[in-house]
Amino acid sequence: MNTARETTKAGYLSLTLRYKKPNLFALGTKVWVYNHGMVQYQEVNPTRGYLSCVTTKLHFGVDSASVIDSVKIMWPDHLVQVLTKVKANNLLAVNYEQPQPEPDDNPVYAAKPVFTPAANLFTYKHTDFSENDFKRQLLMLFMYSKTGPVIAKGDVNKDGLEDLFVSGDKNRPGKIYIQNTKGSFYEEPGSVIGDENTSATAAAAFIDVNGDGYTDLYVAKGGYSLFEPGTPALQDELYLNDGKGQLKPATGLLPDVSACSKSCVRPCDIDGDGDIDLFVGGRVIPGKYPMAPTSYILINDGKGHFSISSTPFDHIGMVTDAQWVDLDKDGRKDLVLCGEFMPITVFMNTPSGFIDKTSTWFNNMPKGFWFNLTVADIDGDGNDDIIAGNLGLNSCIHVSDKEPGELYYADFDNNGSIDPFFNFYIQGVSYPFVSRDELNEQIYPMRKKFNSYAAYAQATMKDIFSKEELDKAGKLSVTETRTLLLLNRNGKFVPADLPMEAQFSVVTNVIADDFNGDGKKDLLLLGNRSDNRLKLGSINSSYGCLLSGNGKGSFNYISQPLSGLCIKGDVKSATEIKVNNTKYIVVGVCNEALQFYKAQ
Amino acid sequence: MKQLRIYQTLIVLLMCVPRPGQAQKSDAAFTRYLQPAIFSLSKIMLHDVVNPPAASRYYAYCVLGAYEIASQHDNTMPSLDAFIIQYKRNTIPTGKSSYDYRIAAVYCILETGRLMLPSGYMLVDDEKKFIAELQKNKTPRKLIDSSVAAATYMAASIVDYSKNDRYGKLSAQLRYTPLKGDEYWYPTPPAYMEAVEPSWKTIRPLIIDSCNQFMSLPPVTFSKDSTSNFYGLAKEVYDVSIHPSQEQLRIASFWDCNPFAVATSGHMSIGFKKITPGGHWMNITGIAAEKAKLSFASYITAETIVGITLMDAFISCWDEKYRTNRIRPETYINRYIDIKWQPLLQTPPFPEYTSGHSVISTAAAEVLTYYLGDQFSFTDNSEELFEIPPRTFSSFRTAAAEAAISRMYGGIHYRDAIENGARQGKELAAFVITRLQAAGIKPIGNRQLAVDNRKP
Repeated sequence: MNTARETTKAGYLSLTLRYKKPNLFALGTKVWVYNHGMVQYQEVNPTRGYLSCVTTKLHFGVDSASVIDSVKIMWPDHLVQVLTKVKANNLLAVNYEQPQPEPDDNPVYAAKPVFTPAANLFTYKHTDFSENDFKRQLLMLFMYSKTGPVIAKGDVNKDGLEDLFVSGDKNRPGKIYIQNTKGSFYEEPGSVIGDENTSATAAAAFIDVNGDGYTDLYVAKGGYSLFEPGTPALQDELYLNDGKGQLKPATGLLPDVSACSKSCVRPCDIDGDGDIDLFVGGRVIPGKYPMAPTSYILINDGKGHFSISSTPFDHIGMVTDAQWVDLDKDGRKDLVLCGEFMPITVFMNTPSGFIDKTSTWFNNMPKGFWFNLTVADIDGDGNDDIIAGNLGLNSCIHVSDKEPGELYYADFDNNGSIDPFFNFYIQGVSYPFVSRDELNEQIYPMRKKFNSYAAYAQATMKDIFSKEELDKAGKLSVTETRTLLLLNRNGKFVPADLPMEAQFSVVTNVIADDFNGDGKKDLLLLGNRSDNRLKLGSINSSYGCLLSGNGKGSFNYISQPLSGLCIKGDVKSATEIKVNNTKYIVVGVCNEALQFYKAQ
Repeated sequence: MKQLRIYQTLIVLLMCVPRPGQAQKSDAAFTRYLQPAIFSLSKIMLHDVVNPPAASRYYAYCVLGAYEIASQHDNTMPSLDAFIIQYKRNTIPTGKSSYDYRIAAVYCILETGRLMLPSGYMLVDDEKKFIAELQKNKTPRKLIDSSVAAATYMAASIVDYSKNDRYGKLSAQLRYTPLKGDEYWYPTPPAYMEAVEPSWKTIRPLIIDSCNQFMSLPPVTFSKDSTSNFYGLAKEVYDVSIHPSQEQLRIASFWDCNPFAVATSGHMSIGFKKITPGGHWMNITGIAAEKAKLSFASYITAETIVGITLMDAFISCWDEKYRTNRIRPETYINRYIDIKWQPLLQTPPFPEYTSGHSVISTAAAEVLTYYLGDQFSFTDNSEELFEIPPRTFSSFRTAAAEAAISRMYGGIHYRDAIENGARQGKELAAFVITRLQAAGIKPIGNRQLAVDNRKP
């Protein structure tokens, strides 16, 4: 028999809440109980697991006082009821209507949000293929097929208004949307960009490749699916502007760049000869993760004819992003690039070629997943700083310098397929991420090696493979999963703190600009990934993370109601665009409609 | 008295020394180990939940070595390289007279299993038990040791041969995704398991030239229309299940042969195991061989030709299954006839057309008929382990026909998959038989069968 009430003299307050239809059980209601200078907080959130529900009654334990100071109830519509001098040891039934709730005096709800959802500038709903890259390589951490929708911005018809390219999906090719003077967009009928049934658009950039004053479009191909390296599906495409705002496919201008899937295309006049050259990052070799793909420097002959120029970073790794920035202010833009299991790497652009100067610019550059690299002068000191989007801290993968994540890969069983094994530390020991079932599926003979789950439970890589096998295997590592802000200070990039909210999810896109009109640069972090290996699970808790900057390198998280953002899903692309002198952001979410927000 | 004891000891010692020309034990002393050896393999495969095509592969390789050992002693037995694809004869280095090929053959079955099966280490116990039995029967230690050496050599040689059949490349293949379309296979309840062995057609067969050499007739065209032939096939399965006779129920469960039937209760699942169709027919072969009191050479020949046929039949059947990717009756019936219907047996996790049991049972029965004759009656107690009583058949073909139709009683196949599957099995077996004949493997013939076949 429970005699707690008699022996401890403690009390309680139970609340049964009734909201309006159809949510009569008041799910989502928040309740604060204030008593003797202490606050308790609960929400009506009764789900505890699959097919489960606990009581919707809220139960608070209170001390021996017979009267509770106050109880504040915030209903799902954010209207508030405050009850004072509430009798303890009581089951209180509270109805939404009695007493009449009022708006909260929390300034958050009164303020005008930074972003407001805008009416669609044009309608586009991305409909993705259903793919499962893990059927091809079981042990990857996430899929590589989901590259779209890709967005690029440029002035196609040279009317001073920004236009957009949006890549296609399974039902349609990529299209150009031209902005007109009335602030609406129309689909340019003559431009048909790519066919997602035969290849996947991974990146795009508007560049005037032939110097005729009209911007052309470079489309980098990528993805994973069932594509094979060295086939037309992975060959990039060039579309030339016919001078009337129509983009037509051109042939014979690009060398063979079909060795792998690409991640990014970053234009720059590398050799200073007046025409635009390109860096095209290699993302992954379909079917051969994690072997290093090829990244390309394509030099323009001035007429739009490109040729490959060999560099020290040809096979640097699985490049996710890159930026050109003149770090040493010598008039030649240098290349900063990043990638999976790679450090952010700096190659100085010198007359004698590219030289790796990472150790000059970073005291300790960790290896991360680095899904995005953005360069902007955050603190207004005239030097570009770096924001590098990463995996975040909201997953089961926790790594550090001392306890790195390590990826061993080789064709251990000599059957023509690469066997990648990712490990990370749990309680001081590095364990393989692969389950026994997955291990047996990947390498059949392992069924003999660990003949029970118990036998496998404590196994580390050294128990699965011999020292000789591990010595011969390739090895990649990762020591940082946080998204980082790196401030350019006296010739070095120094990490600066970001609010914890920046680490809630994967960051794949970053826009740096002053969004709240205070004259200081803010950061909009977008991302999420739901196409991960089942064991890793979906990482999707970002609804659009707005960080307000103080102009000196510090940021504050702006809560979702104040930022006005509700961007759910896997963000694959995002850009700012000016329409009728208003700043908009256009966000491409995989398998969802394009989202448009107006900035203040 | 001490002197007498010394003499006794001397006599005993003298008797233990193997002398050339010592009378060999009769075949029956060794054939009685063949069935248990093969059954030991079945037990391991039960433990490991080996799927039906993979099981047929293990049975085949495990008996191949035993046959080859015997053929190196008995020149009426053609060597494997006379009929097995890409097989090169590997002569055992141990001197023929120093070992007993029958001991070596039995041991080779266990040893090959030990090397190949995931839980093969469990067969070490069976090997030890076998040796202990031999010792109990006063088999000289030296004979045992050299027989084991010969067996070990041949088992390793067979495992080497097996490594080139592309089994090792299966894990590098693209995994299966159910095709989009109403007519295609979709995972079935209760476990909704992934499709089993979608790339089995890439395995090198033992006798047939290629996986699609015996392509089946095409299946009845899919249709949702209630007046269509296909709907009629599904309805037949459904109607049969409404009021099945006791005999139909017995037949369905006798040939269930599902290595892992999942039963669920709330969040709990249990897998109920049985030997696979291939294991069932290897056992039938043993039953027939024992009834016919076959010599050791003939017994191992029977097991080998059936093992080979089973392996190739599964390759042929699985090629067809994953070419047609046909929807199972359970899925179709739930969608278009009766959402609550469940088949009597659990639908196995692979596409429907053609029926595995129909192909492999018919093929095995044809080869057994070739070797031991038609009208060979037998009582099959293979399923007693699973508390299913024995059944008596008047011939191998009758048994195979019952195995085939049992799949409709079980609610897991349409009639065309059964009839065309049986046809497929028969054609495949006819080819195998011509190859066996050409190699010199002749039927036993009535005069060699020791028992009156009119008695069950």
